Amino acid sequence: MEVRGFAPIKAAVAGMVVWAVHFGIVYGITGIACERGYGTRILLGQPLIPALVLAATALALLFVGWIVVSAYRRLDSELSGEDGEDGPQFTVWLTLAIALLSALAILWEGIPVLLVHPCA
Amino acid sequence: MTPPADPLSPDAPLPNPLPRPEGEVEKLKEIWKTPFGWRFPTVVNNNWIGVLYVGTALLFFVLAGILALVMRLQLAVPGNAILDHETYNQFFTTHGTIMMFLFAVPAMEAMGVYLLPAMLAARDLPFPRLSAYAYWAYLIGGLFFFGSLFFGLAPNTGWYMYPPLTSKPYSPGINADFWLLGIGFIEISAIAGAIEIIVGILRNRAPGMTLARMPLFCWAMLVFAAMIVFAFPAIIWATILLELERAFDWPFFLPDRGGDPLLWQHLFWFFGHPEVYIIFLPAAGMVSMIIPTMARTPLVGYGLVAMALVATGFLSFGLWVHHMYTTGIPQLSLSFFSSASFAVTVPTGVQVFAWLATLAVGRRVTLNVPTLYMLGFLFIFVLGGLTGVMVAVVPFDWQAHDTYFIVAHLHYVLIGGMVFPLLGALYYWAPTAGRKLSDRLGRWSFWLLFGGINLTFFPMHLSGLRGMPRRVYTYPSGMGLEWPNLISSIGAFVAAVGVACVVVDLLRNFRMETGGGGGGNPWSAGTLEWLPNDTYAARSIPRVHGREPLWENPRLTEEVEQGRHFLPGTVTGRRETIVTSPVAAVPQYVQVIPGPSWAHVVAAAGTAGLFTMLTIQLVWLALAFGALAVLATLWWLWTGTDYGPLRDDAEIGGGLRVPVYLAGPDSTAWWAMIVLLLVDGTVFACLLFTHGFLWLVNPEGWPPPGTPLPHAVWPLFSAMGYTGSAVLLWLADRALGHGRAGVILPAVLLALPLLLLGFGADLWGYWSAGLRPTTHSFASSVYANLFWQGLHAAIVFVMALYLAARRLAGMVDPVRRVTFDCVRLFWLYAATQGLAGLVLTHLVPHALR
Repeated sequence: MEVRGFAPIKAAVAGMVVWAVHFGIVYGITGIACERGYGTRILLGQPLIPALVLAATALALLFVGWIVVSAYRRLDSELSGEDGEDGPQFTVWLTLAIALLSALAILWEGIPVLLVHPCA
Repeated sequence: MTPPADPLSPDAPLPNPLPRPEGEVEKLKEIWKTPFGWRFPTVVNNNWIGVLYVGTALLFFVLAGILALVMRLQLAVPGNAILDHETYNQFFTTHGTIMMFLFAVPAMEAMGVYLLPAMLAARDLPFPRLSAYAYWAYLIGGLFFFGSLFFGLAPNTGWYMYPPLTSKPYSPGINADFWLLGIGFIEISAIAGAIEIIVGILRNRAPGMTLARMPLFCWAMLVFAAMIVFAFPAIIWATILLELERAFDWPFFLPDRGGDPLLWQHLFWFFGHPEVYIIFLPAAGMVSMIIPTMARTPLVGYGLVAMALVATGFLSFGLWVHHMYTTGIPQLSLSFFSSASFAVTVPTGVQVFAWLATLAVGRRVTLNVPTLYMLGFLFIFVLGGLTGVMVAVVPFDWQAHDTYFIVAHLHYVLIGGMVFPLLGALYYWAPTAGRKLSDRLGRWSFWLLFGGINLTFFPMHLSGLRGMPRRVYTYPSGMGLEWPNLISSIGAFVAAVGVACVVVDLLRNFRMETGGGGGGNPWSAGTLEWLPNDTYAARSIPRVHGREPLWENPRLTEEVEQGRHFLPGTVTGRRETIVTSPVAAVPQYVQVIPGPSWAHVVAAAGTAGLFTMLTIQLVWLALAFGALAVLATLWWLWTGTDYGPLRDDAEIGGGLRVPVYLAGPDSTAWWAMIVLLLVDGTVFACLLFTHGFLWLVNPEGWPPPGTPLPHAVWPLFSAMGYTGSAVLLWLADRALGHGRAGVILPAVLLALPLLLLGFGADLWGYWSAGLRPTTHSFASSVYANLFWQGLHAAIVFVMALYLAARRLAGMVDPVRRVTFDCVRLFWLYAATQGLAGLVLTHLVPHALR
C-alpha cells in the first residue's frame, strides 16, 4: 500500500495546470502585442496574434490529450482491482475527469481568436 | 484463523481489544481539559476556537447588516437626508469590507476549524495554536477596524479601493490606511488558517479515509484553503504597494511618474474574483453534506462533485478581468475572460445537478430547517448565477457595469451561495456541540430571510437597468426609481427580522456541552462528526472503509466509544493526533501537539496592535507591538513545537507501531513550511507581474533614459552573499544528516552575515548610484523588491538566532531537527528569491534596453 505519495494529487490537477499556463500565455501574448503595436504583424503568412494563440492552444490540447490517454490507460488496468474506492484508482479517475474539463476550457479560450479582432 | 497483515483491512479484527485499561479515558480528559475562568483565552481546542470564531463572524455579519439597514433607510425615498454623502461612503465601504473580509472568509474558516477535526476523526488539527492565533488576531483587529466608523475615520472609497481615488491627493486622511493596514491582519489570519486546514486535511485523516472516502466538505475546504494560498498574496502585495505609495510617495499607480492605476485593478481582482469562490466553495461543501443526509442517500456523482470543486478552484483564477471590461483592455483579452467565465459555469452546474439528483433519488426528503435553507440556497444562488452569466457577456456588462444590476447580482450570489448554506449549516451541525436549535424559530427565520432577500434584491435588477448607479447616497425622483428602492428597503427590514430570529435562536438554544458527548445524531447522518465527541474528540480514532462510515457500520459509534479503534488513550501523556499519509491515509506517526498557552494570544494582540497603531500613525507604539508579536511568537515556538522524540515509538492498535516524532519531508511542520513558501512565492510572482506590467506601460524605456544605475560589482557581491549563504546551509544539512550536530552553530553564524551582505550590497548599490524610489515607477519597483527581500532578511535574522539558541539549549540534534529543517527551507527560499530579484532588477532591464 502506498504510504507517502503526494504524486497522485499533483497528477490529478495536471490538466488544470496546463489550462492555467495556456491562459497566462495567450493573455500575455495578446496584452503585450496590442500594447506594443504588434497587433497587425504577420508571422509565416498569418496574423501574429491569432497564429500564436492558436499554436499555444493546439500545444496545450496536445498536453492535455497526453494526460487523458495516460490516465485512461492506468484507469483501465487498475479497474480490475478489488476495491472500487481505493485511493489510487480514484485519483486516476479524477485526473481523467479534470483533464477532460480542462480540454474544454482550453478550447473555449482558443475559439475567440477566430471571431474577434485582437486589438480592437 | 490468521488475521490479515493489514490492520486497515475491513477483514482485520478491531484495532484494540476489550476491556480497556482502567483510567484511560480519565487520563484523556485530564490532558485535554479546557481552561476556564481568566485562563479561558488560552484555550486551543478546535471546538472552542471554532465556536468563538463562528460567533465572532456572525457578530460582524450583524454589524455590517446594521450598516446596510441604515443605507436602505437612506435610499427608501429620493432626496433623503439620514446620511450625508461622506458618512454614506464610509458605510458602504465598511459594509462591503466587513462582509467580505471579517464575515465571509472567517466564517468559512471558522466552520472548517470547528468541523474538520471531527469530520476527519482527528484529535485535533496539527497546529491548534495557529488556529487560535488566527482567531485572536481577527477578533482584536476586526473590532478596531469597525471602531474606526465611530470616529469618522472608516475607509470611504469602496471595498475595492481603486487608485487614483485612494492615492494621497484624493484621499489625504487616514481613512484609506485603515483599510490597507487594517485588512493586513485579516490576510495574515486567513493564511494562518489556510495552512492549518491544508495540512490538517491532507495529513490528519482517520486511518483508511483515502481521498476517495473523504467527505466533500473536506474536499471543499481543501480547495478553499489552497485558493487562499494563491489568491491572498495578490491583495497582500497590492496593499503593500498602495501603502508604500501613500506613505512614502513611491509612484506605482501615478501615471505622471510611470505608474498605472490599472496595476491595482489587476492585482486586486486577481484576489477579488477567486475570493467569491473562496466564499462559495465551502458553502457548496456544506450543501454536499446536508443534502445526502436529508435525502437519506449518498450524494449522486461524488467523484464529479470533487472534480467540480477542484476545477472551480482553478478556473476562478481566470476571471479577474471580468470586473474590468470597461477599462479599455483589447477585445480578444476580454474574450479570454469571458470564455473562462462560461467555463466555470460547467463545474458549478455539475454540482447543482448532483444536488438536485440526490434530492430526486432520495428516500422521502425531510423538509426540516436545514433542508429549507438548502432549497432556498438553490433558488437564490441559481438566480444569481444566471445574472452572472449575463454579466459575463461583454456588451451586456458594458451596460450594467457599476449599476444596481451588479449590486443585485452579487448579493444574490453571495447571500444565496454563502449565507443560506451557512445558516442551514448552523441548524444542521449545532447538535454536534450540544443540542438542536429551535425548529419553529428556524422556519420563521428561513421564510423571513427568503422573502426579505428576494424583496430587497430582485427590484435592484430593475433599478439598475433603469440606470441607477451603485454607491450613490441618494437619487432624484421622476426616474422610475422610487418604487424599486422603497420595496428594497422594506425587504431589507424583513430580512433583518429573519436574521434576528437566528440570533435569538442561537442565544436561547446553542450550548457547548463539553464532555457531554454532543446532542447525538438527530439527523441520522453518515459521517464521522456525528460520533460522540468530547474535548479530546472521539474516544478512539475509527478505521474507515467508506464515505459514510456510520451508515456502513451501524456499530461504529459503539466500537469507537468503547475504545476499540486506534489510539484509545495517550501514548506520551500529552495531547496527540495521528498523522496519516496524504492519499491512502495510512498512519505514519503520532504527533504531539501543544496545549493552552498565553503565547499565541499575546502574539495575536501584538500583530493586531502593530497594524492598528501603524494605521493611526503611532509608529513607535506600532514597533513596540511588532516586537511584542515577535517575542511572543518565539515563546510560542519554543514551548509549543518540536518536542523531539518523547519515546521511540508506540503501538496505536492492530499491531501498528509508529514513531512519536518525525522530521523531514513527512513531518507536518515541513508541509506547513512548504505551504507558507507557496504563499511567499506567489507574492514574489505578483512582484514579477508588477515589474512586467509597469515595463509594458512605459514604452519610453525600462528604466527610463537617464536613470542612475549601480556598478555591476554590487549585484555581483550580492549574488555571492546569497549563494554562499545557501551553500553553507546545504552543507550544514548534509553534515547533520551524517550525525555531526556541531556544525550547525558555525554554519548559521557564518551564513547569516553572508545573507545580510547579499541584501545590503544590492541596497547600497542602488542607493549609492543615486536612485531614489520616488522618482519613477522603475525606481519604486526596484525598491519594492528590496523592501520585500529586506523583510525576508530580517525574518531569517530572527530565525537564525532562534535556531542558534535552540542548538545551545541542546534542542537541535541529528534526530530532533524539525526546527533546523524549517529554518533551512525558509532560508534557502529567501536566498533563491534574492538571486531571482537580482536577475529581475539588474539583468532583465539590461536585456530589454
